Amino acid sequence: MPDRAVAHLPQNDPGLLILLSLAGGDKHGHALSRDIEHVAGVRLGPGTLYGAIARLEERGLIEPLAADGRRRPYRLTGDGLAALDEAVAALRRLAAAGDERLATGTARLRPAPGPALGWAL
Amino acid sequence: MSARARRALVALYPASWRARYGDEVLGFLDEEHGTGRVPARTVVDLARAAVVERAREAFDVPTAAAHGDATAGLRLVLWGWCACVVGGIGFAKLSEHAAVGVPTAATGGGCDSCYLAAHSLAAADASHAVVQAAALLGLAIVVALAVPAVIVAATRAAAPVRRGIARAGIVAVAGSAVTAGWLAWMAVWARGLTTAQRNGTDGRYELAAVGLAVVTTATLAAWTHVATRAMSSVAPARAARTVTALARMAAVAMAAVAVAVAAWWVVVARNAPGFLGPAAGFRTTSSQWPLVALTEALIVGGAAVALVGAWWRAPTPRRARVSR
Repeated sequence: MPDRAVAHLPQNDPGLLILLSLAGGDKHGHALSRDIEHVAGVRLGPGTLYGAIARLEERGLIEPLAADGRRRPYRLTGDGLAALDEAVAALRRLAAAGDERLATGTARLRPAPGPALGWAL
Repeated sequence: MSARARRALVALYPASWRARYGDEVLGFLDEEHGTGRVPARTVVDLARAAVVERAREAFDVPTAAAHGDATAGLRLVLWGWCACVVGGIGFAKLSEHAAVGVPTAATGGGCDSCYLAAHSLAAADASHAVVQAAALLGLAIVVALAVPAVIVAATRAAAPVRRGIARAGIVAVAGSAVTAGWLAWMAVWARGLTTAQRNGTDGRYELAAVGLAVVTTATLAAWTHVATRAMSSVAPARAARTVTALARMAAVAMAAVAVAVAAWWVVVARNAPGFLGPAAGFRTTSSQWPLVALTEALIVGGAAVALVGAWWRAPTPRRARVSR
């Protein structure tokens, strides 16, 4: 299951971050960059950001709105929402698999309970 | 960073991309940095993305599985170029001593050891100039075709394809290292040899030279494999007509090389037959003709394959990628 989930993850991480940001409301490029930095701790440069915007627009996952001067807001489309939903579900499956393995599979790696450190010394 | 410098950065992008996103990027930079300095990492990010966008003008990863074999012709052009380069290196090696042994002003227009008389020198020189010019043009075009395909495939293709290209790249880099090492080793060794030993009387050196030819050919083939593997995972994009025109120019350049090399050998054969035979100065081999025929066959064959690829299997344009 985890392998299948990984296979369905979007390969373009900036694209996923943009979809995620736009799910919170329409934003222009600079606002997207700030929001992504706030939410994910990732600072996308303008080249990376607009490259990803172009790809998402080509795939019909986002759409441009009327420009306000040099600012042009973008909006998530229905397909974009579906793609984000699928990606988040895949991430959720991956996280669940990780939780499960941390809880069971790596139990043998955890140190057995022993005497307090101060007592052992 | 001045407004002019920022516009120059955006100018790195293709025209269609600039028309769509150029103002937004400039606005982004204004909001982010005001009129102050743009950090180097942002400049690098913009420049790197511009290279990718330029590459995507030429090629793109097709979204539909049924893109056919849109780059088959281009791959033939690349393999044709590989054969031409191998033949061309052979020609350069075989012809190098004719260039050294020609009459000069210092020898008064003639000399005992010269292969070419002064009157035939001009024709040989003209042929050689055509070979060099056409080879440089072909090299520039082939690089301009292959690099965008590799960039697009390496950044956009599916993970297994990217891994395959990376593996092919590792082999090519390793081959390049072996070739460079072999060449350096031979250069050091050659310092202790006489001119005659370096040109046929030392069997070990001749064997090493053959080995160098083999690893060089294998390395060229490895790089061509990298480029064609990348090419097979992409399809022509907006600039498909330019790509086709470039492929045809490359094929014509290869044909020009083939004709000019043949013309050079004809001039030499007519005016200095000794250069090709056993009496050719320090050469001790019986005849150069088999090697001349082999190199010319590689060049002619490569040019023919490239011409077929460029005309009969030309890529067709895909629909426009960016819409406003």
